[in-house]
Parts: sequence; C-alpha cells; structure tokens
Amino acid sequence: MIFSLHIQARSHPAMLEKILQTTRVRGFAIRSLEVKNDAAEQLLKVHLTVESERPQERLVTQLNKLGGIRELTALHAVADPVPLIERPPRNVSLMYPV
Amino acid sequence: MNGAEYIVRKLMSEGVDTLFGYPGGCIMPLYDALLESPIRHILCRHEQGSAFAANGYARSSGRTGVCLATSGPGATNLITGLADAYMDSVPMVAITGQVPTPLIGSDAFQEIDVLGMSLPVTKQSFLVEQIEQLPEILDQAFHVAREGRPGPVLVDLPKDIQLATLPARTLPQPDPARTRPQATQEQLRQAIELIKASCRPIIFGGGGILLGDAIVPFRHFVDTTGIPAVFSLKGLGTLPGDHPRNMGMLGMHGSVAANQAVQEADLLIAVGVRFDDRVTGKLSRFAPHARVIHLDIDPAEIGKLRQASCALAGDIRQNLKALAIHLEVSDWQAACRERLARDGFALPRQDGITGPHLLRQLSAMTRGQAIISCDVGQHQMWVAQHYAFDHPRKHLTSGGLGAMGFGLPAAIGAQLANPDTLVINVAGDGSFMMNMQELATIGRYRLPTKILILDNQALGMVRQQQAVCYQGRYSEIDLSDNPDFCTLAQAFGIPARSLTDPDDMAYAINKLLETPGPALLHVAIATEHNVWPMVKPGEANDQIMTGANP
Ligand SMILES: Cc1ncc(C[n+]2csc(CCOP(=O)(O)OP(=O)(O)O)c2C)c(N)n1
Ligand SMILES: [Mg+2]
Repeated sequence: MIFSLHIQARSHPAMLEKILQTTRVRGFAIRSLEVKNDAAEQLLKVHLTVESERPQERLVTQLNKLGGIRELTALHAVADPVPLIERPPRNVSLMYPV
Repeated sequence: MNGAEYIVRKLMSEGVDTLFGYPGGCIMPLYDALLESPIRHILCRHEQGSAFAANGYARSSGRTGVCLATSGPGATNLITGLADAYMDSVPMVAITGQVPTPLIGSDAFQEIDVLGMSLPVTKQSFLVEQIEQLPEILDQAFHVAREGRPGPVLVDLPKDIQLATLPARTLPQPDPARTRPQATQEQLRQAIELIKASCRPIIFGGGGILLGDAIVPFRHFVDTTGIPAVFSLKGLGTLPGDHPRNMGMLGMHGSVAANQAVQEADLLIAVGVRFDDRVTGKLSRFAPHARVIHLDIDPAEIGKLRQASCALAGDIRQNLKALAIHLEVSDWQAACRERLARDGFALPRQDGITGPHLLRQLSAMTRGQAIISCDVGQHQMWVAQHYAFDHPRKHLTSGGLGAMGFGLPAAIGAQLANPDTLVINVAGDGSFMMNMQELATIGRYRLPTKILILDNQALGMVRQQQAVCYQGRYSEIDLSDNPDFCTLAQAFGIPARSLTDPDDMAYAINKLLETPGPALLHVAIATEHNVWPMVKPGEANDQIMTGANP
C-alpha cells in the first residue's frame, strides 16, 4: 500500500531524522518527502509518502508517540502508477483521511 | 549560576540522590559543579557499567536512573545500556558532554554525533544548543523518561553551555500535555462479554503490569475471576510463586504446562505484554484457538504482532478494575493445576551440582525475597524457572536486549537504591567477564552485594543452540581457560570461595549470604547441562522439546 502522512512536529534537532528512522525501521519505504521548517512557529511541516506491505496503522501509531509530534494526519493515496515494490495493482485511487 | 550548576540544582529538585558516571574533557564543568552538591556520584569503571548501574537503580526502585559520560568514547560506551532501557521500558536520563557548540561539525577531538547515534535507542534525545533552552529540556527529559510507557532519554550538553551563565528569568515552556488513550465503556463491555463467554481463559502478564503500577489490581483481577495466569520473563513475580493460579513462565524456555495451556486457551487476556518472539514462538501458531483482549498503555503495541479482538489501550490499573468479575471456570482451573503439577519445571536428574538445584536452593534460603540481577544465558533462564520471586521489581534481567554484562553493574545500582536489601548477581562465566571491572566499584563502596557465578566453562546458551540446531558443531563457545574467579575477586578485596561438592550446596550459599559486605561464590557446573524445556527459534510452542530425548 502507498499512503501519505502530514506531520507537524516541533523543530528540535534530529526531529526529522527520528521521523525518518522510525519510518525505515518499521518497514516503510519512502516514496517522496517534502519538508518545511516554519521558523516563526518552530514547527517542521512534513509531507511523507511511503509504501509498504505492512498496515498503515503500524507506522501511524509509532510516529504518533514520538516526542515533539504535534499533529499527524494519515491519507490513503495512490496515484502512483509505478510502485517501488512489484505486486498486483489495487483499486485505490482517492485520498481520504483515516 | 552557570549551566552546570543549574543541572545539579535540577537533579536535586528531581529527587536524584545518586548518579553513575565517568568524567572526561567535555563534561568537566558538570563534574566541577558536582563537588559542591550533596548528590552521591558513583564512579563505575566503564561507561557501560554506569549505564547498567543507573538501569538497575531504576528497575529496582521505580525511580529515574541517571548516568553521566563525556563526549565521544564516553557517550558511545553508554549506548548498550540505553538500548537495554529502551527495550525494557526503564526510565533513565543520560547526560553526555559534547564539544563546544562552535566546534560541533568540525570533527573536533572526541566529537561524536551521539544525538544521532542515540535516536534508535531512546524515547527522545536532546541537544542543548543555547543556554536558554536548558531548563525546558531538562524538564522535558525527566518528564518523558517517566510518562506513559517509560524509557531512556539522552541530553547532549556542549561544554560551552555548561559554562554559560543562565539568564535570570528563563521560564520553561513545556510541550503541551499529550492526551492518553483510554478504553471506552463500550470496549470494556465487549471485553467482559468475551470473558464471560470463554471456557478456557488464560491471563498472559508482562512487565507492563509493574510499570503501570498495577500489581495490586492485577492480583485482585486474578483472585476475583479465578483465571489462571502465565507470565513473560518480565512478568515473573507479579503473582507470588505459590499462588494457586500462577502457571509460571511461558515461551522458549517456559514450562510445558504454561505453553500448553496457552495453546489450548479460547481467550488470552494479554496484560502489559508485547508478544515478543521469545514468548510466542512461531507467531501464526501461537494460541491458535484464542481470541485476544490486549491491555497496554502503548497503543502501538496493540495489534503490532497479534490482532486483538478487543483493544484496551490506556491505564492498565483502571481497565483491570473494570474487568474484575466473578467467573465459574473451576474445571479449567483444575485442569491447569493438574497440568502444572505434571508438566511444571522439574529438577534434572543429573548428578553433581546443577543450575536448577542451586537456584531452587537459593530461592528457598532467601524466601524469594532477594533482588536477583541476572546476566544473559542459561543461568538467566534457570533463575526465571526456579527462583520464586515474590515481586517483579526484584527480578532484574535484560529481557528485550539480552545484553551479557548487565548483571553485575545492574546489581550495583540496585544495591545503592536498596541499601538494606539482599542483592545477588547471578552471573554466567562468559557474561561476568563482560563487565567484571565493576568489581572495583563494589570494592570501593564496600557494597554488600553477593555474586554467584555459574561457571560451565562455556558460552552455554550458544552451545545449547549449537547442540540443538547445528548438530553439535560447536563454534567458539569454549571458555575452559577461564581465569580463577576467586583469585580475581580477592584482587579487588572481595572474599570468595568455590563450591564443588553437591553436599556443600546449602552450606556454601549460607556462607555467601552470611558474609558481611561483598562476597563471591564460584560454582563449577557441567558444560553439557542444557535448559529444558526448549522451543527452537522459529518453531511453534507446541513443538516444545522436553530434553527427555534431546
Ligand atoms: C553482549 C552480548 N553478546 C553476545 C550475546 C549472545 N549470547 C547469548 S547467551 C550467550 C552465552 C552466555 O554465556 P554465559 O554468560 O557463560 O552464560 P551460560 O549460558 O553459560 O549460562 C551469548 C554469547 C549476548 N546475548 N550479549
Ligand atoms: Mg557459561
């Protein structure tokens, strides 16, 4: 499955690394990553699209408990025609909050 | 007031009475400030020793353990101790010195990115970049270590920050409080329905019960429902050893009785556990007939490995209270009791001194009330099988990480946290040598800690797996050239003796316990003895080998 996450996190040193390390170690491959550091609000705004055979919940619950995470929204995605991992296509074509 | 002085004040206000550490260049301002403080600093002889000692202090007291190290090698030496605390959810704060902020990123002498290195083994890691941040970061560090599911936190502290003057009014701005999940009334009602409908329910208890301060409600839940209970390594002692519903440890080296009861159960009430593979064996065949009610403070654990029919995230205490209903399961209770009598942990019939005999004897002579700090290997499993703990706080064992070398320094921490309690390090000959420099710490502070070395002249647990899984092709497990452990202890001023005659077992244990101050008992046991029963890694728990036909 491919899905996206919108994350707002406190812009501590290594906050972004912790998000990426958690994503990797829990078995989710990163498809795309966009980050903005909002200096005024001291917030990192991360938009992450990942792919895995593992349920989305496994990543969401792990990210949710990291110190410094302020907001996390998970979106099913999947407009990408070329998956990183070869497998039969699935009929998910919308983004919707879960 | 400079940063270092502020840290000392903060430690005192957090009630920290003992620190474990080792000085060096980049942490020198903090060591200087400690000179004026009433906080006791214990100089361990390796930073891994400091981290494990702080860990043992925390495990045995429930308070936050604090360790200090310098930058570079000091900081990297802490990592194993932090990893252990991370995997077993132990509240710790590690403070490391760092090169001055202008030098960060210049490959300065003893500069290592410990912030980055520590990320996978801490709940949270902080780098203090400006003196103004110090109060807030320290507040958070202690809060994060303790709150919810506890764990280790690292604070990396550049030398210039330790020396900088704290502005007069620096008010901490804490992170907004996190909302904790709480089971709904509907979920609790569903759980009660599942419990009422089951004929063969089993409770599976783990370390989360102690961490959630839920021993009393857990015991009440067991007594009210009458449901038999099995435990993971870290749950041992949650019920007293002689409690009629206590089925003991399950999993790889659990009893046949406990494993079979789980395999037959139609309901598994999992309390503060994370379905570790040492417990479940082949996951797809674990408790195949059971629906699962899972209680845990950490929502990420629920459904991580085993789907729950009913997920009760949140405070275990409250949820257990809500589930304590009267049940009629007397046939199942009787079947479990009968099975335990038949297939519980038995003493081996081998001649000579064996680990199981020795630990049963130790358990009886200390009435299960000593704090036992184990190392990792066969001896650790014999402790789990044969020492009847009366409380889980008394069992210090590296469960998730399985780190050899844990036992001796953790015993030091436990002794300092519990000066009037009997603390015994049960060590293997291999594990002991991973942190034996801490004999110097015991010697220096004259800690009354007892050391019991089960010397099988081998890396026994590896040898056992090579016997069972690699057709007896023994590779690098021989320790027959061990040093003389008694002479070694004596070199540190610690009285020591050896036990060789099985008839002297009670006498030798008594001597160990009666000796004032520290003491070591070295026990030679046969290399060939294995831990039974055993489930081979990756196999299902019903394929358990009893050792009758190994
Ligand atoms: C730091 C570390 N290195 C390696 C291992 C792998 N290991 C697990 S048990 C064991 C043997 C332990 O030997 P010993 O302490 O003598 O205990 P025994 O099994 O003989 O009772 C080894 C090498 C480990 N758990 N930890
Ligand atoms: Mg050994």
